Amino acid sequence: MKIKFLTFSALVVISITGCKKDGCHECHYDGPSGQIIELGEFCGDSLETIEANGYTDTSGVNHVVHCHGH
Amino acid sequence: MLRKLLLLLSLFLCVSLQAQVIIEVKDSSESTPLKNVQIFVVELDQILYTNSNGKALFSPGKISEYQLRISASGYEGQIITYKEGNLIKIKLLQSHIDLHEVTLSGTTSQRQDQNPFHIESRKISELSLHAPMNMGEILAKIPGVYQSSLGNGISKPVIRGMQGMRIVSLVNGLRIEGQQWGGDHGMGMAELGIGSVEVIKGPSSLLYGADALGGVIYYNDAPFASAKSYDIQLQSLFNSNTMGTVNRAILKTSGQKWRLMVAGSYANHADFKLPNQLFAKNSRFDESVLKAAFSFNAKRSVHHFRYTYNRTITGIPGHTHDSIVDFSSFQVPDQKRKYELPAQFFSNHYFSNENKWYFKNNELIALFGLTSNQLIEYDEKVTIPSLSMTLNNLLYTIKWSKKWGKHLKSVSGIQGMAQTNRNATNASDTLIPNSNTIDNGVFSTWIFEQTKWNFQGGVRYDLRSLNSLHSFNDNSSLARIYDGLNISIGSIYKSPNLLVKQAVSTGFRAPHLTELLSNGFHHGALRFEIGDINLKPERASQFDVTLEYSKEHLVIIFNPFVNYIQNYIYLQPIDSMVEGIKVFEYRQQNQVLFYGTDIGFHYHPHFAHKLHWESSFSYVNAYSGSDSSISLIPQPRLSNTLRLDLNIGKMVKFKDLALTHVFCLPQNNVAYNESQSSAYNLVDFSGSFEYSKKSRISLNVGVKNLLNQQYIDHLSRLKNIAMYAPSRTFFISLQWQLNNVNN
Repeated sequence: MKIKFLTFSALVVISITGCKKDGCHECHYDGPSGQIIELGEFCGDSLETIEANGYTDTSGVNHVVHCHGH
Repeated sequence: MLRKLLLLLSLFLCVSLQAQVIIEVKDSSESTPLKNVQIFVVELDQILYTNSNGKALFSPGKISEYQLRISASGYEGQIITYKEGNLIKIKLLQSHIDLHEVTLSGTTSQRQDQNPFHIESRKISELSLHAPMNMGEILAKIPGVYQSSLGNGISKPVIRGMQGMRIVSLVNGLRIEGQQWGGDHGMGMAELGIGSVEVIKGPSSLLYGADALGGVIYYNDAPFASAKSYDIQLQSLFNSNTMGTVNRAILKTSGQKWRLMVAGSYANHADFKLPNQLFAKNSRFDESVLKAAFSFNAKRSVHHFRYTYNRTITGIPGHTHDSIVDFSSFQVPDQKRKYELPAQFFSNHYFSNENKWYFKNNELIALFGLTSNQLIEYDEKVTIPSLSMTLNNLLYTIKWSKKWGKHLKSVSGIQGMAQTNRNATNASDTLIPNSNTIDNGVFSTWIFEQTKWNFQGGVRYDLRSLNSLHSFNDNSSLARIYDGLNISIGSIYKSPNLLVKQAVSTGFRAPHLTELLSNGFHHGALRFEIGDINLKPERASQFDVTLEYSKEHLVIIFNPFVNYIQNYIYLQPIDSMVEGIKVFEYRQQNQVLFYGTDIGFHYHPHFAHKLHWESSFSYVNAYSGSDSSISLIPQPRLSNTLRLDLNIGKMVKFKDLALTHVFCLPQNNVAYNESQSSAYNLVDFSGSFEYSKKSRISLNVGVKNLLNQQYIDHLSRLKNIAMYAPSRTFFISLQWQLNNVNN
């Protein structure tokens, strides 16, 4: 009974905690005439950085970056 | 030496045998033994079942008297008190309808026909005939109870037109908090392991203190396995509309003096399908629940430890930051499952420790609990939450019950909580400031019971201290003290066929920080909200009458009420927009009268013995003296369920068929700027089959919204984006159960 119980408990814990959300996202910003400018995929720390600081283009303009399919 | 050992052994056996009491249960008219009768020994927290001879063995301990609750299908339940003797003879009266379950949410555990206060008690299995999506949908099957939903993932109970902060929810006596002031914040309560639910409609501050102004939802765990046995349940459910699955597993095992339950469930649903064949964008959700409970009894006491973890990730349909909203953009041709923004992540931890000590004519209950609710909302960015709050709550209840002779009993105690709310520093928005709330209350209730009349009355004083820890929205930090003196008085008259209950109860609710200090966007609700720092506490007084007429095959219930509320807080839309979003102000109405009724019957015709017909009609309305203040009053609702208990076959049984028709009348009684709602019909149908040998396999199949009705309920949070409720849905549920196997 103890083995059955422990096996069952372990299965329950694994099934509940087994899945993780995807850590990478495609990012873009909205161009001046409304077009979407794709920036590619960002993961982990670089994803946090680009969302927090935005993207600065070659002309020095900083854009708010979106990393999801809104 | 061997003789001495044998002598000792026989003495030990004699003592053991003497300590056992035989419980014999028979049918009152035919005197035949009844098997599988459930006997719950309250003081030992132990469940026993009678064998094929109608007998069960019970081993009393040191306590002077025990309460035995007897229940069997097709018979009227009984509560008996055991004091001494080796044999308990019980005769059960045949009854095809027993509405008088024992309730635990009242002052003390009582059968409903002994409690002057009307409490609806329902088994979750009775409310789940047609595979409900969430707990809100389950509760909305109860007369006078509705749901305010934001798609399938977020659903909250509404009792007699009141919701949110005016409703208090408890699990096994533990109050649960989940930022319920926000209409788009989920409830954090799943069906897993819950056996029954009780609903107190109207103010209940005597029992549960501040906030219990609109009503109380009280969830009870399903019982543990019977003594020295184990019970395994596995269940899978498929829902065609959301292409969703729910998987549950429950294991229970019990010894003579201890009991254990471990359970887990995982539900995953994609966007729901609309009657126009499109899908409600971002209405997907998944939910994981883990639950464990342990209980043991000592010589004169019972101790429970319970823990639940609930995590939900849910999309927020209709959520937008755009100033110009195109409703059609929320209905899309593709059904998606993977989470995308905006989304809410809820996680809840509920821990409780309940201890009951039994002395001669005295009972002491001490419950301590800790709940933690984390709500994180991602709107625009995947790594930076727009909102992130953690609400921790430390709770206690200490209750002392004393019997003062044969007819009089008192229950007195103290109850309180210490609550902290903290915003994470990485969140971009803050809806309410960091705050501390401390509640303390003291109460005393007296119960006088006679054969025909019961009286109950009590008084309670509560003190709430509310402190915001920093300045917020141009207001400096806030420190407020609110207090409330509340009473409840009720009586019940019983005759063989008639039950008359009348009760007066009061309640109070202190204003919430969001009502006092808001000044900004609440995107989930599509509102710009402005609070008022001078709001006063709401105070309610309700008069509730229940008339119940019952015969062997028929029960009719009539339950009208009036609820008079002073300082009613509401959101008033004003003629202003901020960045394209409508502005609402929190205001206070001096007096509001909520009134209405629930009428119902349960008919089990003698000529068609397999048929049960349950019908209910719920109506609620509000009068404020002006025409603009009270919104979200539920549509009048007529519900009929026909259930055919077939039980055809032996090893494979065709168990039952159930057909439910719900007719919601139009709601034309609306507040300023609130739109009216049309009438709609819903038809649900299901059937169940069972295979039983050593284990039991149950199959339940059916269809919801059979007529594919295109409708929007008046309380739907998606009404403001003109999004219909889910279309026709087929479901199939398979359950495997192995139980009552001795260790």
